[in-house]
Amino acid sequence: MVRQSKYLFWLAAVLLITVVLFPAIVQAQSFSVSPVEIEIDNLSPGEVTQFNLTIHNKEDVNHVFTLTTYNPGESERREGRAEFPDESWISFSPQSVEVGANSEAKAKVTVAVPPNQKWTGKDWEIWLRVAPEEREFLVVNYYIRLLVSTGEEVEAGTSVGLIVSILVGILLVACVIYYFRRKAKHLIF
Amino acid sequence: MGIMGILLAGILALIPCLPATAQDSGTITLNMTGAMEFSINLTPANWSFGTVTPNTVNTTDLTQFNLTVDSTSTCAINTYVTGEDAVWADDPGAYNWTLSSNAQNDIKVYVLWFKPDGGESYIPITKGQTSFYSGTLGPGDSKQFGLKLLTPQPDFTKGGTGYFSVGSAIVQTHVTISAVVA
Repeated sequence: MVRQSKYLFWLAAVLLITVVLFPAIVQAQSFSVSPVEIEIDNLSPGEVTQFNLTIHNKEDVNHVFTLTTYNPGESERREGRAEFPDESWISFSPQSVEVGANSEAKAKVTVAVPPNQKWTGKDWEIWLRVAPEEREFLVVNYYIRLLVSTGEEVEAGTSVGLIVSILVGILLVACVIYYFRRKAKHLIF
Repeated sequence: MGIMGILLAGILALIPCLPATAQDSGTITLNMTGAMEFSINLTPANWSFGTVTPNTVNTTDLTQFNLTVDSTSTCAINTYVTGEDAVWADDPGAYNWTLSSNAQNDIKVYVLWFKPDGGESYIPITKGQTSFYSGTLGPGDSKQFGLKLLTPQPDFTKGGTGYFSVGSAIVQTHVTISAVVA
């Protein structure tokens, strides 16, 4: 153990007492994202909406970009916008996008607010971050502002109402058929 | 009379469902400002401070780095800067320096600042998002900036000289500049 410590000390002393920071490699990645801001209005809790993001790789080599969310601070948000309650309500497909040299690729973003009355009538803001997977010392990230305003109604009742309507409709048709068949029997006899 | 009764009963049964089905016609409005676009260029993307020793300040020229908003951009942007821990390139899990959150160095804690050319003072770069430029930047705008590094205090001292325990090694980190439409 003592021998090993001595070895480490001499290694440190002989091999210099310094550390090199930031190795020099290549140059920064050039890309852009569209759209830069998305505003969703009247999204009722329980509803789901989707849109596409386009990433444009302006370089001569392929790059992979990762999509994540970021909750900005109050001073960074638009006026009147509150913090988005749960980042898991936003999903990306795919989460990592490979974009060919000098070309574009799309990723689908899904926003789903759970069906709960407490999420009605809200104005939220969250940012979608697009970041290159390969990174040099200086890295460029882009954010897309996502502004979400929820409706006043909870959407959960819609599917229930639809199912009940269909069931009542079927029952109604069955009753009419039964009535006419019965009437027809009476006519024959 | 009988069939009319059945139909009436059916309609009455459907009435409670009407508000729910009416909700289906509520329109979600999706406004995408696709006409706006921006991109920024950072040069040089890489930089080496060279060989550094414990507890020392190392600075770049204030015009060393350049951020330019591409002239083809069509909107103004806000910019932010964040840093991260520095790691040993050969074995990131074995040795690292934590990025200071209070502009004070310590054993295995380093400090990084940036200063825009013409700026009054150096601003610490932390893992949290800090405004890179207080105003907005428009198409074609350019900002030069420099960096200052304060290395960690020595891991151990022998004969009055401080040492890093990894001896000669390459330690890497990243500085991220983020942009969002203003």
